[in-house]
Amino acid sequence: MRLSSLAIGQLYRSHGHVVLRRARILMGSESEAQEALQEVFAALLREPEAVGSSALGWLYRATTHFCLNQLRNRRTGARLLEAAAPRPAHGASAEVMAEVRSLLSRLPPDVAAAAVYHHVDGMTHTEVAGLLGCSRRQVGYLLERARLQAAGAEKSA
Amino acid sequence: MNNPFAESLWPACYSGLHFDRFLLGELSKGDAEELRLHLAGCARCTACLESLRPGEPLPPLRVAATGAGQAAEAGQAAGAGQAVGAGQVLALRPRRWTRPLAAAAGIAAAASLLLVLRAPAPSERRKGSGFALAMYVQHGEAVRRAAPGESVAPGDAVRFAITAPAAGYVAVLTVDPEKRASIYFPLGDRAAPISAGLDLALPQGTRLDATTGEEHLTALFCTAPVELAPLRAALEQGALQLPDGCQETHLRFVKR
Repeated sequence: MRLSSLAIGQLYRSHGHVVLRRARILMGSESEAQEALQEVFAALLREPEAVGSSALGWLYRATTHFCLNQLRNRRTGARLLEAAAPRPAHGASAEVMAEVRSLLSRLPPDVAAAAVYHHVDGMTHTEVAGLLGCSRRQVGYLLERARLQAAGAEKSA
Repeated sequence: MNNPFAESLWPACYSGLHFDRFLLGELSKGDAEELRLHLAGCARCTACLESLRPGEPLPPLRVAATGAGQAAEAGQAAGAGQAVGAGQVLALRPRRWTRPLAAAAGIAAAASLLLVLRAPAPSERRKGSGFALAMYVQHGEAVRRAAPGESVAPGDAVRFAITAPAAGYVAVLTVDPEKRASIYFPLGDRAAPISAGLDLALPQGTRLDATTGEEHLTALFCTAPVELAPLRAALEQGALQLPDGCQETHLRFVKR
């Protein structure tokens, strides 16, 4: 599906809040969440055929991808912990989310994305598999790797 | 710290994606009905769903196309009182994340973009007050200096350049086709310092949003770092009065 610029503008108005909400949770910073919102839709303007069959699914993937890259680009764990959380991420405390961001920044991209979808967004393995384009078994494998790496980080802390 | 991945951080029985699909009307009738029945008996999911409803209005879709670091540095530089210097060469490149995203989405990676502002040709130099605003447009791989009334496309990258007759303070504001005014430059609250010079590239680029129509740019050159918020508001109301010590110049372009 190739979206016209008018359709992208409409999509921004109808779906933009989803991108902003998830970016706030993942980045823990209002300014970086706002940047993510703009960058995700700028990417869509540059590649309007990228959306595929589900605009919402594409926006979930694009937001996750952008935010995980940003987390990896942050230089130090200290900065991750210092980032001011603009609002609580659902039930998770700011401290837990800071730890989650730190972990995500160190995980391989596919493992981190699976962990975001399952642990942060609460998706079932089937939903994660749909977004990642892989099997449910592969999702289970990715989530186990995330759990083990988090457990390793817990031991070394 | 306990292992945060030992259990879900999500507080509801259904995922955020499922709730979003429900709110956006993208669930099948059967799935939507099933969720409604569940919500009727689950306070936790009801509360979660309510928290996902859109709240505050979104900002206008306008993206600084330079890297985050560059844009932030530009803002900090302006805030710290550093002048935009003559002879700057600025590059506009896609964000690093766009390439893996493109790959993930099954599309070809975009070629690296490069926008380099050139010094104006002698014939372009101006006389008179000497204050001038220029705009460079990157469409695909091609970069051009925009003529007045230039037609551009949503998604094009633009960058501004100022010719300043003396050291002073500069800002670029715009009124978009929906009559909303915003500040293109600087990122801070006040006009940013600039040194005297020809075609000085402003240190942040912008990628144009999806709104089509005619956009009016107003550049201000002032002797003091004037506050921009009241000027933006006045511009939006069509009642901009120049502060003392300021001069203005205009440029318009059309997004099609």
